[in-house]
Amino acid sequence: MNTRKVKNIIEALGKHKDDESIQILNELGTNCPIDEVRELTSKALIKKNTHNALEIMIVNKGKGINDLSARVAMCAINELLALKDKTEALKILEDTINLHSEKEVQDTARSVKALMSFSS
Amino acid sequence: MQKISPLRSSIEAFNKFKALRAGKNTNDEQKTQTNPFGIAFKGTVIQMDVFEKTNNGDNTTSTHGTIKEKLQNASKLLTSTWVGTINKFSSVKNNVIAFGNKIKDNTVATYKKVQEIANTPVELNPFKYSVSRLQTLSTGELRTMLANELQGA
Repeated sequence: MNTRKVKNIIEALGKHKDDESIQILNELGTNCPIDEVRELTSKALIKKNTHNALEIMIVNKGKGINDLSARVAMCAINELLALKDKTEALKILEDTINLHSEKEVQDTARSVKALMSFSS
Repeated sequence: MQKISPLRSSIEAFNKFKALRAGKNTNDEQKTQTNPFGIAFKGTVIQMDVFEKTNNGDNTTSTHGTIKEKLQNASKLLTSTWVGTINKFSSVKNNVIAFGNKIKDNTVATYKKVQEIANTPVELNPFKYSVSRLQTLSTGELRTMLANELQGA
């Protein structure tokens, strides 16, 4: 795997206007066994700051802030904290806390929401 | 025994001193005559013969002989200059040839090494995978490219 190429492709997909890019990143990036690729994908999706992209990173178990790798999860949380407009992210976090079936996901969302509230 | 008056003795002493000084002065004059520039080196006065030409005897030779000798000297000088120039040019030429050969060898070695390492044709477009260029591609193409890259992982 050429890391530079993969990084550039993921970055290009993150900046792409087409909604299909979110789907590609979700399918290929977030399911990749390599931590570095998942980390890059999390960054790209969160930077998009759209409902669909943020939902993948916040709601799904084992992806984004709920990733099994602490490094990937922390990277996703950092990207969320770095967002200029946090409105959409906070809304999704609130919905996750109230409506998600998994308690683990709810707890993570609660912690991240608290962090975002403190940082803003 | 003759009685020596103090005045006479002092006059005699002065005369002796005067004579000594006069003698010393004459010696100095003689020395400086041989040393017209008055140059001393580490306390030793440099003699005049240091500044004398070694070929004083040549002045006694005829005018014809001097010209001939001058011509010979000039031809010797010219010859030595010519030989020096030839040597200089030949060394420069050798250096240039050696430098060219070195560059050629290095290029060939590098090319061979690249061929060995890559074992594929060298990609000459460094901007093929730049983000700005990739953004212009369709999502389908990007999907294929990403899938291909991640396939080996």
